[in-house]
Amino acid sequence: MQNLWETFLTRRSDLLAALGEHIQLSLIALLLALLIAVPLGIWAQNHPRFAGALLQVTGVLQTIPSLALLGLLIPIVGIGTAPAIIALVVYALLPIFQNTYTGLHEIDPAYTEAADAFGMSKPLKLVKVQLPLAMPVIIGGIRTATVLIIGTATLAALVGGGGLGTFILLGINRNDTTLTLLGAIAAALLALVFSWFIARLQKWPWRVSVGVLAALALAFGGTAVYQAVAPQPETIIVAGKLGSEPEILINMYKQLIEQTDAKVKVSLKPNFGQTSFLFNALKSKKIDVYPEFTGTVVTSLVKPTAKQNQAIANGADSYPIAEKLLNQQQLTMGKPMKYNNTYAVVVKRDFAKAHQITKLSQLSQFATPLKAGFDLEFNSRQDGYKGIQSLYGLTFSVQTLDASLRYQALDGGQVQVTDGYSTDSQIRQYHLLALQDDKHLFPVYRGAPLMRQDFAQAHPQVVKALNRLANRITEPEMQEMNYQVNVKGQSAAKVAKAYLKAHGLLKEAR
Amino acid sequence: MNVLKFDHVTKRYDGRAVVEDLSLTIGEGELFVLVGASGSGKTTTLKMINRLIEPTDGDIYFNDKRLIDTDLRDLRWNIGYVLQQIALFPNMTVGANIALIPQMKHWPKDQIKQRVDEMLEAVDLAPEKYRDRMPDELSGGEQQRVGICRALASKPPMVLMDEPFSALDPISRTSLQDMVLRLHRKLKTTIVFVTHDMNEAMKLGDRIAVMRSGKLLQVATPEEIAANPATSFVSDFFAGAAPALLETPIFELASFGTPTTEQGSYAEDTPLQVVLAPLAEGKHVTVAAQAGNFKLNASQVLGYLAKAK
Repeated sequence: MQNLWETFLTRRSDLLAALGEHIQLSLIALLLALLIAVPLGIWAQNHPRFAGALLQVTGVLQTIPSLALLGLLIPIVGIGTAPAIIALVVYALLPIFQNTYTGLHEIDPAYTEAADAFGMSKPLKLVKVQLPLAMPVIIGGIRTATVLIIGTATLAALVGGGGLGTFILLGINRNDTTLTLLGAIAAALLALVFSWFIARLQKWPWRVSVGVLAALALAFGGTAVYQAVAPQPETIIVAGKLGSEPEILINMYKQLIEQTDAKVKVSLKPNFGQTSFLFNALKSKKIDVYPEFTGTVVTSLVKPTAKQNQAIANGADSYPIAEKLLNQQQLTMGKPMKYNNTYAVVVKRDFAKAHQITKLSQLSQFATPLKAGFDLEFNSRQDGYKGIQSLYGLTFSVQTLDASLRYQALDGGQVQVTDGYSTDSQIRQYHLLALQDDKHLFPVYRGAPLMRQDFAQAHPQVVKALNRLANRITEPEMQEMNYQVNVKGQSAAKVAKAYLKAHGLLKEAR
Repeated sequence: MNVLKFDHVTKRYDGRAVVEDLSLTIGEGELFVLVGASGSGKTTTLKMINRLIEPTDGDIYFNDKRLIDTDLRDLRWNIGYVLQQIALFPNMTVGANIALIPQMKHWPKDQIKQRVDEMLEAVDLAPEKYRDRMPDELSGGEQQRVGICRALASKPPMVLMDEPFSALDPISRTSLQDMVLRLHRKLKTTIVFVTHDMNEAMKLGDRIAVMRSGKLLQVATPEEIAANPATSFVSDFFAGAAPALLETPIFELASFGTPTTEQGSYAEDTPLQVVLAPLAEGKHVTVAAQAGNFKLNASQVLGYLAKAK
């Protein structure tokens, strides 16, 4: 609980932004669904045969799993808010349509007969008699749809649509339940507030309700349309994977680019998704730049020849190989930074000092095997514990642990050695040391900006700005920055700026 | 002058005639009652007048013009309508319900307001008390008074009433019947009134049309029907009405009885037939009435029955 409150305090501006996105997304979807489903429900009154068919169709649409629907939409409308809104609208159609139809259908026929007998025109009858009488039922449908939309909108984060889902996703990714909980609680509260608000709407005269709805539609729809249509200065979209490190890096990118060319606007999409998602987004021009690792490129994004793989395994720099293969896909990578974010074998700093250890090979001095806590994957990988055994000839008394528990086990003294990533903030937090991989077992993962060739050619000044980070940032520096963001709760932008200033990469003015 | 004329009108549903070859005329200012059991076609006949139902064959003339040649909206604005289900719009105040048609006709605002109050007064509902209330705050009888206001508000030359009092309790029904008679005398509006209750028909109708299975059996004044029923069905239907006379609460017989200071042995709302047995034995009956206790004997009751309609 304490933890949750602290996370909330340090993250509240992010949470507020995510909440804003979530509300915008939900309201736009709700209003679109209303604009489609309510007239359809009204129309269906006089076309009972279509009414049955429409109920079937909207019902079937609702049974499509939301993930599948998003997956189906991406090739058609791309990523971002568009597929998220479409999916939400699809889900909201059924409850609104169904309740509009049945609400109107179940009005006591005496009222419609009276309206007819008094010579009311059809539109007047609808507005003065039918809709007001059906309103409680219609509002019920809208409430159901709203709760559904707000809940489902958390999935928008999966397709780069933003919203509270980013918190949930980030929490799952970092194994940080407080983040997930924060996102989930915010979404639940939002659903409650909206549900209450819509119930209130019913108590007001319908003219006021329609006015409020129209105002909301104009405010949110208007901003969305404005954002889409208004001529804007050229915007470069820089995205990052989940986590603090990509977020710090893209903030550096932004500050460096904007320093070079004040006219260019950089839009950041932090915590945008997983590797393949970002890679596809880059290729389909949804984003322009994102930081990627050379190691990831050669293992997952391109297909090196056997010879190239052999060279990499023998410790050759993977950057030239990655760049060459990326060029074949009309992509290019900027110059890599200094730090190598790869597997690391980690011990306590005190322990290293006591035994005067800095390198992995020095662990062979211990006669009895050290107690090691490795995560399941590291334990079974050739470039993990297996390699340590064969290349270094080291043997540990291994206990496999969940990734999230390794550092605590090491800190608590249950194990003496664990695996990690060389830039993990916990290394700084728990006063640990990542041992040097002196026999080059672990593949090299160096970060560099990935972009399309056409973009790089059109923006040489951007490439130049990004390359100012070439060979900058050491592993301890990255650990420290991750620590500042993850543990100290500093904003990534602030941490990025501090680094750039300290290293003379950013002019003091402004 | 004939306001309304049915000329060989037939209405069929799936080939089955609900109203068959109906011809009749209704005069200006008449209170015309269509009476019959359920399934007689009386309501269908009524609803063909404001074209809620269209006839299959034949023509209906309103002021010598065929209904189908009349603009539907004009027609309906000229024909008030009172429903059995009352159907005041529950989302509008009493005033708004009454103002509905004048508003559609774009009457000036203050004229509408004045008319609403006038109508409420005409049906004995205090305007300042009832104007802004919602229909569900009113009793059934009060609601139907408002229903009648709504139908009459724009001063239509004709009003249709579809079993307007059948859902009301006997006391409200009696007072609303009296009110309709009063309004009719005052406004001279042509009224077509549908009921299944022969008593109501006899009490209200200037002329009565008796219907059975879609056919018109007899059209005549109440006196004629009572004296010369056209068929045995009409006489039976009329006879069926008689027992209702015996349900009359005995306070209505006060003017026939003798005032007394004796303690009443019967409550004033006791039905007449309850006291017939003691009367048959030659006894007096004393009634405890608010207006003053009275005594009744057998000949006084016969006197009432002789004068009752």
